[in-house]
Amino acid sequence: MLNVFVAGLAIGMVFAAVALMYNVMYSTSKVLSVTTGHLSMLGGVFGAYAISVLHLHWTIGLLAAVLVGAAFGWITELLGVRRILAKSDEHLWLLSTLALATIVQQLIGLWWGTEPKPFPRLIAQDFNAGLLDQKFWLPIGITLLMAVGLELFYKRTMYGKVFMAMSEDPFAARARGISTDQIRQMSYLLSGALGGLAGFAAGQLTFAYFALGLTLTLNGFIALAVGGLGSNIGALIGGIALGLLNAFVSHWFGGEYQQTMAVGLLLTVLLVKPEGLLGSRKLRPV
Amino acid sequence: MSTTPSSNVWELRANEVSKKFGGLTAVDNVSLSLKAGEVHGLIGPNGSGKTTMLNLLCGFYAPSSGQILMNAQDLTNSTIQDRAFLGLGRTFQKPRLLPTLSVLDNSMLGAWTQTQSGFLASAMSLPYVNKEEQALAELSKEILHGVGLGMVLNRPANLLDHGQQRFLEIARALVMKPKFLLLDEPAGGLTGNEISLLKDLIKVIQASGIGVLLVEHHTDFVFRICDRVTTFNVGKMIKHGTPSEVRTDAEVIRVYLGA
Amino acid sequence: MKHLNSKSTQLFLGILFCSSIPFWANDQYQIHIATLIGIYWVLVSGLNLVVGFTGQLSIGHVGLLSIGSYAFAILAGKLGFDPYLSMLVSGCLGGFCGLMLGLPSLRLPGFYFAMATMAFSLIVNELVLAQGDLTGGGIGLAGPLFPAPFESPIGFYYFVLAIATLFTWASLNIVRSMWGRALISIRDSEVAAQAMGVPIFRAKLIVFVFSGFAAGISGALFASLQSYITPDTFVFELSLFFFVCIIIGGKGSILGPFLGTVVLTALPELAAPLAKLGNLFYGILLLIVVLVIPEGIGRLADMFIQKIRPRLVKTEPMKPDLSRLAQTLVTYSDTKRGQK
Repeated sequence: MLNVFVAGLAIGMVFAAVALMYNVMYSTSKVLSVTTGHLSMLGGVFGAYAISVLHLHWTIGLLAAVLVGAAFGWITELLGVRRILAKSDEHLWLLSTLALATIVQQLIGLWWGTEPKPFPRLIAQDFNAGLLDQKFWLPIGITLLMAVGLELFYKRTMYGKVFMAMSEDPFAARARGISTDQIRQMSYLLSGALGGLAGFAAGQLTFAYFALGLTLTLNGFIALAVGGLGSNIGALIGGIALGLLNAFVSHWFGGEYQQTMAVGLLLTVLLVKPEGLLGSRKLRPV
Repeated sequence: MSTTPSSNVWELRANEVSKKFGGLTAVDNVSLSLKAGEVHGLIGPNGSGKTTMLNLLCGFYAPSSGQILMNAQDLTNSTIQDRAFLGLGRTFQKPRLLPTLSVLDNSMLGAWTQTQSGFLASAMSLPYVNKEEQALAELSKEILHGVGLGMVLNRPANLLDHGQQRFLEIARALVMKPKFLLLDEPAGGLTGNEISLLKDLIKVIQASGIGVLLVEHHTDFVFRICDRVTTFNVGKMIKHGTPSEVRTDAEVIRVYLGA
Repeated sequence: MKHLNSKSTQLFLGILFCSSIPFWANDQYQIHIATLIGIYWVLVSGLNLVVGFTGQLSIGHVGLLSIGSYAFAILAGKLGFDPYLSMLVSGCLGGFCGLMLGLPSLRLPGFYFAMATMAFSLIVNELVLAQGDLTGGGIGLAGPLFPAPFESPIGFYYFVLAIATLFTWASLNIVRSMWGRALISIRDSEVAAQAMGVPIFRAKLIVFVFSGFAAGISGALFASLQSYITPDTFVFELSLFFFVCIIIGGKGSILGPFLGTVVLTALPELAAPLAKLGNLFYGILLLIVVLVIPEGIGRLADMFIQKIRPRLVKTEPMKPDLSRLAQTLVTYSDTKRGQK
């Protein structure tokens, strides 16, 4: 039973990490990018590549993961968001980020292969470590660190405060001389880097798999919607709820209904509280 | 003022209506009415609550307190669409047209409340659907010629100039066969000549028995065509009466018109 | 909206052309592709109303295709019911599932809705795999043929052509009616739609259910054409494919997405190396269209024509005909008001 709980918590934390990334990008651009899950996927794939294939030290692998994630985050902003925001059609960014997500997924699939490949051990540990297996504790630890880090970033640093200003009122921010374009780029770079980090940490749990992106985009989004858009604590709660639900349902009914259960959770929450558990209601525009 | 038989009794009214957005009170305990065949103007400085009032009447906002009534019928909880079916037409501060469709198609959208054709019937192009479409097209063309857009019936709406867009919005609302027409800053951005045409249009609309409510900044325009004027300031109604009463009122002058 | 006659003439000529294909096609394979295009177009024509005209970004229609296919394979194949009836039931089941999907998700904002539809397609696959007894699980099911004269490739092609024509005609009718204007108003200005009395949620739902019906029918035909279906056929990327057909064809058009479907279906078949890179190609194509010509390739043609023969837009002053207006308005008090 405890096994199931820990496994659920771990995967839930991966979803929570993706939800946190959604929040970071949304705060400065009001865009929900389809590429969010793919940023983590890249972290896992490139980490595995650096360590298993190139035989580099895991610290280099980590660096590679973070850099690749940041790079793709930057590309997302450059191609998927920047030019789109200038145009009036608000749904275009859904299409552009969907296109980018597809492109990166297919390219990785062609290069890395379509089979999930194992991610190497980072710290020497027996494969029978059970509950203490790093494949559980790495994602849990890293996601908690991410959440705390973001909290400190927003509250204690100048840039963090600028991010928050932008998310509250982009016009006022610009009027105060803040270059909203640059801040947006930074937020996507940051989100990408976090994604790379999270994917790297979760690699032993999820394996290095090209199709992981879409799954994480969807499940990370469910975690986000359940917890409430814009809330980092909500992201954690949503992620944990989803992860635990996933694990326990799989345990009792077999793994065949995972997606169905996940969406069931989402719909239940949305029907009762459409803005999510900790989300805020928005005013209607006329 | 009107000569049309059945519309004498129609009245749209707001009873002690307030609207709060969080801590901000946009409309504070306002009562006003719009009678069939009259032109009623709402004026006041920016942010005084005039447009909010219009939105409350149309159903885009629900009042925090108070009621909206059409004759005896309580509209307070009715949806925007319900009110459209009951005969409330409106235009917007910034014209909201369908850019890819022609002027004729845009105006025909106003006929939605009159269509009996279902989705499947339309898909099968049943005879009664086609007949109805033709009749509604005829009606729309008449109205378009009436407002002066007869020469651009097939032009895509995004190729119209600003004045034409405003008139198209009015035409669309007229196709609805409304009992009341609520205009949100209809003179905004119009040339002097166009404002004069607008005045003529409103006179004709009024004469047919439709009650017209205008939110406007062009105070000369308002005083010239309105039967009654209500002045707003900070969400409250500060003066209500005939144009001459309002334009000479001390507080209205102080707050809005200037010395 | 163009004058009634020209669109009908175009449709007639188009059908004439399509009817002639079996006579000059080189081999069975090309007829197979032509039939596949027709089947995809049945689904895309319905989806086009949802995406291109109502502006709802549904990326999960492969789930409805799958439901239609499996329903047909089970009813007509496994259980041996009449294929025509089974096809109709597949359509209705597609419509019903469209209703079930649309009810909770159509009220959600754009991204939420898109994710919900994507999740739907993944759920359908999950359920298909889980209910192995019914659906054959990972092994799949055989898709039966229709009885004579439609069991031959050419016969089946004409059958599909007839059905595709019906759906095209239905789409054209919707688009040229009040419903067409209402749907476009939901896409381009929800605020105006509300003010005109258009029931936003109900209209979205009705169109969505119709697209589900189209997808169900398409699924039945698909199962028959492919003669064997497995869950691997109905991957998310196929939804993306349908979606791209519409986007590159341009919103607000019927011809555009049709040509998009033709080109995108035929392309991987004609250029063999593209087949493996198919999904990558669709992704790149989607990105290019979105960044450069978001109105679709149809718009590109328009812009080109504008360059060659610029249409001078004269700004003429408005001259209201006040007596005409007065006359029309006076007739208002007597006419009835419809209820929707």
